[in-house]
Amino acid sequence: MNDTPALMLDCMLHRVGNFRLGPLSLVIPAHAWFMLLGPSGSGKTTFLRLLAGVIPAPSGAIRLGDRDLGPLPPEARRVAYVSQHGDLFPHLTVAENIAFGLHFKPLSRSARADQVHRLLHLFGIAHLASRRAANVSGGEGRRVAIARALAPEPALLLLDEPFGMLDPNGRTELQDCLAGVHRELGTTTLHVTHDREEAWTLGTRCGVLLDGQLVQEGTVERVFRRPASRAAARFLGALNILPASAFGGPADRWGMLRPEHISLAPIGKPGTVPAVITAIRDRGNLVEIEARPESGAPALRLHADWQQARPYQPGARIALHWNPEHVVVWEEPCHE
Amino acid sequence: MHRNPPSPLVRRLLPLLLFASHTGLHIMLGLAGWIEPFELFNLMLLTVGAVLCLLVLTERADYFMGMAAMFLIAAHALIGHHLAPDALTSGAILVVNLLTVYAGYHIFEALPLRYGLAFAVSYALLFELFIRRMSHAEPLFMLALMGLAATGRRFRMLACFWALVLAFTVCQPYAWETALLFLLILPAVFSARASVRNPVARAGLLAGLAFLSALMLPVLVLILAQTPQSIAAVLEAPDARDALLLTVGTATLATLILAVFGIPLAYALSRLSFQGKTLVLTLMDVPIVIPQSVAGIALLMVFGRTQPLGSALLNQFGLTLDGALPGIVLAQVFVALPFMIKPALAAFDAVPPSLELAARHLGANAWGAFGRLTLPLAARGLFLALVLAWARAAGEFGAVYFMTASPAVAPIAVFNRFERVGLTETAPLVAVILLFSLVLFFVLQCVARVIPTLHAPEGDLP
Amino acid sequence: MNDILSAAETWLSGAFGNIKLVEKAMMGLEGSYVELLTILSLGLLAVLPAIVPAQRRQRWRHLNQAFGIIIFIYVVFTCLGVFGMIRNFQRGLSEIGRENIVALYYCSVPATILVTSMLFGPAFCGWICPTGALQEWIGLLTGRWNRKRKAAGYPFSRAAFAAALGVAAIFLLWMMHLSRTRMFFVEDASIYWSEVLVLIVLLLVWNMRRWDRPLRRLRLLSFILVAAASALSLRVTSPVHLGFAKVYDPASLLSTVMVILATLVIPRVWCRYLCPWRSAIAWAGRHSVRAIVLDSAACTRCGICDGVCDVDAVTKGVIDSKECHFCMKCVDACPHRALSIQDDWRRPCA
Repeated sequence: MNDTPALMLDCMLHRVGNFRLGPLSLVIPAHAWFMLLGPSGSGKTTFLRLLAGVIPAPSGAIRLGDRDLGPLPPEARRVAYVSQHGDLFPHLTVAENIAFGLHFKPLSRSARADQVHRLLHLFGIAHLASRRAANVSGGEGRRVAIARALAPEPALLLLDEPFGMLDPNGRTELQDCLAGVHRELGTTTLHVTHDREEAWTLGTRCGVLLDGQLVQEGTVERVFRRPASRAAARFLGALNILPASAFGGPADRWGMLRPEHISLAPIGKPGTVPAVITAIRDRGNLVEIEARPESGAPALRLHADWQQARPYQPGARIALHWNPEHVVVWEEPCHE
Repeated sequence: MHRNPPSPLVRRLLPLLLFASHTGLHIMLGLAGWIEPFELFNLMLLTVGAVLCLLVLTERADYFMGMAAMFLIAAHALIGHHLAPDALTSGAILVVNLLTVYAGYHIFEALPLRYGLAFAVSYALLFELFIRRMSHAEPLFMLALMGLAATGRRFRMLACFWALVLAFTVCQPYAWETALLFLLILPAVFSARASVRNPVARAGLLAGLAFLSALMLPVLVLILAQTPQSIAAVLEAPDARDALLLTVGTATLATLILAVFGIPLAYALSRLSFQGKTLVLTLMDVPIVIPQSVAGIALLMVFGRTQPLGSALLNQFGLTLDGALPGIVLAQVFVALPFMIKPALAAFDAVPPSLELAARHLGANAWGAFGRLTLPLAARGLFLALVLAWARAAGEFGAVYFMTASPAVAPIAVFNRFERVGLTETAPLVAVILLFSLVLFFVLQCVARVIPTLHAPEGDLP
Repeated sequence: MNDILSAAETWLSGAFGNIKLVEKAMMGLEGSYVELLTILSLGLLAVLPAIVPAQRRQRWRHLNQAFGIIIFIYVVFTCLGVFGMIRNFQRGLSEIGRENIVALYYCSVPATILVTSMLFGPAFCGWICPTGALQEWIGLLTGRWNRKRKAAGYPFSRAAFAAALGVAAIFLLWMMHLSRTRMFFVEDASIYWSEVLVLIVLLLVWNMRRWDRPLRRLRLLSFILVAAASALSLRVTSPVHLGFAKVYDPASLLSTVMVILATLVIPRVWCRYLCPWRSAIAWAGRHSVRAIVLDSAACTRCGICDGVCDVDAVTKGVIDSKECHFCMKCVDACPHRALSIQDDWRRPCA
């Protein structure tokens, strides 16, 4: 499916009451899995509904490949939208649900059956084929919903928090399943979520939507390592967001240093910062150490593994070391 | 309940004392001529008393039960023949008393106190009912006591017992009807469960079902009073058969008309918001609000053949409404309209718009989503709306009467027959209509259950 | 034993004609109160099962059954067989408040049976019922053969099939004979029950394991039919009169003979598959104070109790209260005394 067109947004703008979404400009390359991260109320769902054609055409252009989506009704857009609830058709079986979208395409009966069969197996739900959709569990229901959306071979798949209300195991399984499906079908996917973990496991590209504005866009790695603003960093869960002077940067700017970039060093080694441990928190797979530099700067948090952290107690003296290249400094003035 | 065992001496002495006084009184009263000392029955009682005394002394019978039985036997031997006209009746009373004591004793002993109290109160009430209120009911009192003994140990059974007793005594002319209603209500009340105990809801259920069954009583009485012969006679009478067929035909036509115009309107009302929607929804209720006769007059004012519109229809299309079949259908459509629209609206409201939207995203246009998704999902509700509208149309009397009194539809035929020949002659016709409606309604409900809905059918769960 | 019985009956009927013993004895008393004796005697027969010594319980039971026949023939006025019980009950209940004496007259037998079954277990079927006794005693003739078939899991047997065919042939021939001289009406509904009986015997002989349980549901159907007929005031005569009363008509006689013949092939065939009253008694029995209780610690699951049960109500000590006749054969047969009869006033419904 190399002809899958990419999504292009140009200054798309939408207002609902006081809330303003956009103007957004965004290009999603073909076959990408684009993660749109944003806190609740940031306009993620509105964004998807705009793309899906539920909310009528905003100002600005939405292009999917060479088609302008603006004037098209939902059914003509080739955009598949999977809502948070899945919205399975309860009176149909799982197989009939998946086949639903195929009735509106010029397909032979056998081609339709083949497509349903393929998707059932791809999503590992072949055993559910003849069960009523109302009687499948949460995780199974999500699979059916996504399989159903993919059946008419859409040019763009929109997923609205597909893992919401699933237990952690179900979430992991579904993530693996979706990753496999994406490898197989390569459908361009726009996935919105407020869960940062999902971005790491699934996304190839990632964007951050805050208050209706797309504050950053890039590869997942880059977005997480170098958030574009303090607000984005906060939302992405970054620690050590402090006045940049704490890391040896300019005093009137905000800066950030990721905890994994701070390491423990022998005390007294040159280029290190002596500090006193104020707290040690066991986070399960790693240990978070909070240490206050003896210079009186704000406390820093760093991650150590369990073995490393074992000799230390709160109140112990340590030395901290980091590579200044890892310090992120934003152009936001800091009046502290 | 635990009773303290008497001391061994008392344990030995009491039965002996009891038997001795029985024997002594037997001899003394026999000498005094109060009882027949050599009558078979009296001798039998004496023997049984002796056997019981032995059984109690050798501890082969329950102490309390044995003593109670001995006491009852002694009492019966001495005054029994004054209670009953003959030895057999006296014996029967004795045995039933023994049975009552046996059951009552066990109920008091094995179960919480409220069961024992219910047993005692039931006994008193049965006495009041059969002995004081009814004449010649002493043998029935014995039967009732047997029933009490058999059912007293569980409230559910006791309630059923009382339902039967009340139905067949107090509610006598309609005994079977009331018994049927009781036996419908009681299991419902007793099987009612909520996850948390909810006495308010249960009391409401009891009161509501009692009220409902009081209303249903005439229906049951009417049906149960019929025999196959009387029903067959009605079906063979040509006027009744014609009226039934006419009703079925016109009501079906009216329902079809309502379906064609009402279902789209209901869908529109469910999915769109527009100016004056509230007003439209209120107007729907007009046929319910205005009296039927008023509706009939109003229709006649417009569609009567002497009225402007009616005469225009007559002249232009040759269509007569009043006094003819179209008039019947028109009146039925008018009164059945809200019964079609409201349930249909509810049925469409029950289909979430998000599902329609999902269908649109899958490539269905608005017509496809309606036809493939909304209509099947609302099907059961729509079907029930059709049934309701049909029933309303078929049952309409007032409006139809003013539009077209003849040929008569079934309700008018009933009225005519009642005017002509009176109550008893009308009852079979009414029963036939009732039975027909009930059977039809039941069948349609069963059909409706087969139609899928939003809710999954049971039994298909993982 | 059957010879003796029939001889005794001939003698008794000769001696007293159609006048009942008690009618004579109670002459001069208020006649309807005679039904009190019915209550007393049936009640006594129902109480006896718990009183008789356990050592010779089965002999006592047969004696009880014999008394049952005598009482039904000579004491009970109002009971024309199992169908009559249902019809009379309906009629009697309707009379309450109008003719209370008549109500007692008609209600006494069914009310007594139901009440005693609810208190002392469904002992009527196993200890009193004349039809049951008749089948049991006739069944003794082929008892050993039937027990062997049961132990083998009821395999298809040519002998049984031939016997069933013979029963069917007798039925057809007799019907031919009867239909030459008379018409059949609704009143002769017992004929239909016999027809069904012949059919189910054939079906059961063909494949007992498949059809045994499903066919038992016919009892409820049978009850509903008779109750509906009585509600519609149709006079449906009972198929099995013999032992219940001394009035015979050709249809009832034919039905009785069919039951007798069929019970040679399938033990207690009437009770198992067709008795309408049985469903009512089983219902009462399930609400009974008294029940046969299994001590599962003592039970070795040897299956001896399965073998002795005439109606296949026991499986390895577990008793199906819908089927149990309370004959207590299983209690007496158990070598480990794992089964016992217990009264429990707090027992929930089975």
